[in-house]
Amino acid sequence: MSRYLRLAIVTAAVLLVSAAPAFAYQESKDSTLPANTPAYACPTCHGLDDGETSPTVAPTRKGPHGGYTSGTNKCETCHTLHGAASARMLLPQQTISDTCNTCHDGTGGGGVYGVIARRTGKTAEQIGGHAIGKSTDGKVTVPGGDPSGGSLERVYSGESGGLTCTDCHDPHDAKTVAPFVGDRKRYSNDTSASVATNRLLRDKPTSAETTVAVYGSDWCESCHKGASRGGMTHPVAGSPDADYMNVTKLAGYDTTQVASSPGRLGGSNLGYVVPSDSGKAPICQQCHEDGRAIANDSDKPLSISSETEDYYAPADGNEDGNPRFQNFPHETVNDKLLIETGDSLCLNCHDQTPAGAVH
Amino acid sequence: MTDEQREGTPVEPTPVEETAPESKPEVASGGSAGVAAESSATTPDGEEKRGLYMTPRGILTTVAIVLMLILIALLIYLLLMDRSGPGTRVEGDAIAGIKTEVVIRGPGTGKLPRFDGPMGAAWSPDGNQVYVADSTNNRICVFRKDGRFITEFGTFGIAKPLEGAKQTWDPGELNYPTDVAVDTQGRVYVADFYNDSISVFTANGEFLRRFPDPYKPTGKGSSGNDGKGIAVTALDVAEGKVYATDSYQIVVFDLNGKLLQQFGRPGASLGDLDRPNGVVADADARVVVSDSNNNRVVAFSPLGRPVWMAGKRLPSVPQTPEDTDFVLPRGATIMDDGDVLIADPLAQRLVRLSSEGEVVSRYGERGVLPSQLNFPNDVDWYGGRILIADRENDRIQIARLVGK
Repeated sequence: MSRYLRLAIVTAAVLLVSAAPAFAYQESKDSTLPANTPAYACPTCHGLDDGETSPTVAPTRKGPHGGYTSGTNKCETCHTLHGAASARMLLPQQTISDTCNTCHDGTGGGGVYGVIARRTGKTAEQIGGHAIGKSTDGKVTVPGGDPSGGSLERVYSGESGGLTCTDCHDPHDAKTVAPFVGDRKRYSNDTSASVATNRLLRDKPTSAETTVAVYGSDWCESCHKGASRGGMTHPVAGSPDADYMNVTKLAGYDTTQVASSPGRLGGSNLGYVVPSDSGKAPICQQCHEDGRAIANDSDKPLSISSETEDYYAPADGNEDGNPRFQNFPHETVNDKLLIETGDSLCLNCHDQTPAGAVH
Repeated sequence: MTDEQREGTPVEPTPVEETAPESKPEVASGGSAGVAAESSATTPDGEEKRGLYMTPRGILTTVAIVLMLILIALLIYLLLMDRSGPGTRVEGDAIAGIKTEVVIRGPGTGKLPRFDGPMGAAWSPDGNQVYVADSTNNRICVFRKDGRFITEFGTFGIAKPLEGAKQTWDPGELNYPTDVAVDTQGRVYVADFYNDSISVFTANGEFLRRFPDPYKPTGKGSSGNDGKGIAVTALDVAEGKVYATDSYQIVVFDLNGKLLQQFGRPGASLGDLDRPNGVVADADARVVVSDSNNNRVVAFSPLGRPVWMAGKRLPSVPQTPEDTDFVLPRGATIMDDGDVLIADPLAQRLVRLSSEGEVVSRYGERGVLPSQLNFPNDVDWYGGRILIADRENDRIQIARLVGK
């Protein structure tokens, strides 16, 4: 065979590889458009998920996150048949997380990655949390991932086995958890006390073995299986003990003046972190959350002062500690994604009075 | 390879009678089709080897060469197709109503020759220069209208550090500039998003001042970090005023940064705002705002009262971009006839509204070719030409709109 032939074959191979995204639809020989396909309805080929009888419609979702029906071509908001930058899922960016960051860069509010880097100058490698794409030898070490409480190595679906957004979130809002009644108040369209959002969290995140209904301790334990069992970690309350509607919470923001009382976790920040509640394990989010102060207590050291004070203008008189961004559980400057660092955190529950002296 | 082939002269793969190895070669003249050509070569040990060119093997070789040339040409085309250099003039028909004339991909020089997610763009007052907010690269780049690079200014600096981190900001430094505007004197106003303020530069990039104070609440309240400064994503300069977005309001300053007015509140009712990412003042001093997370565009009177609204609002769930006016409206500009042009990155198009908020037309389609869009984040109009901050294509397009 002449060297020209060989060169031609090599060139053709290079061309085919470079054009792979454009040909992605025809990757499989079986991939043909069905007859009588209504022009361009994505679900015709990309049908329902297992167990679904109709496309998921999430009427409360804006933009690309939900609202899909059998005739939708809304998929084109994020996916494209031709000219996709990534052959993976025909996305406009090279990676899943890059695609998400197109909107979730802070300018649209909500949960983001990158804020801490922007405000500290640290690189992504220096910032803690559920880091995207960070893996060692193609695996991620999950603290408390072993049911006995130790760590466990897992492989996720991001680059090189690291985490990516879709390991925890379903951008289509299919098979997601119910809105979390215990969630902390954040800025949103809904300015009332109750903020109901499921954060597009999968009911069965990558590596989970069973589904969970709501975002709370049980959801975290999908990966951190040993958390509720003590061991290397602080015991937390999972189902059925995690009663988000009846937790011990502060009765007011000034912890030096007000007592605790039972009530609904969420809607405000008064349930994060709780005062002494002897004998009752907290849920994960009462200790692990965006770093902030929980009250107007000048004696209580703030872990991230610039992230913790009012989001709302002082004129609003709102002192709920509503942050501008939700960094948790994406990234943190605190150790182990804890709200506070040092003894201050422990003393919220393990106070030094006889009644509060758990240990 | 023959000289004829090197010059690209076609050789038709006509079957040719095979000649005995010892026969004298007949040289092809003029590369005419169907003429047999013989090649010969001498090996290092002096043995001469001969063979007719148009043997079946020769035909195969010829076909392979032609195919290879075609593939190489295609490869070169693919490589160049979307990698035109900085300030490249492009030809071609309009696509979905957009006809791009110049594509700018970055300065083409220095440590960062390419843009990385440019989110804002603005014309100079005379329309001769183009200012680009190169957001991820924390800088402003300046070009001639034909795309030739002039200068750049700005580098990364943190004005609002988290506790424990260092404040590194020096005058002129930026942290995720999301928009840029130029006043009639040529002064450049930059939305310095993560530094919660607006920085002002001369036309040459010398830092003049910043406002509002990122360490104090602005007026009756603002939504920069700590409730201090403004979370500014977009701005406009018109008639001696600077109009800036905050997370739930519009804040108006004079050119020196004195607070004049602020209006809007968080929520979804008419008059409320949720993460506005576009603002422009029209000839009547009405303030047109892309109320981005509410999927609508709202015009406010000079006193801050809603005048008109374009765009459907939940709970009517938009199924496709065709079912709704806006999916995520962002950058805005006023055209010569008073119409408003809005960039909608999630719909991958530009939407033209009348001065009273009626949808006039839509332009653009998703793609990476010139005249196509990939998450267009901002637009600016001058004398019939628009700048498009084609964010996820990492480029600025200078284009004309075709049709209305």
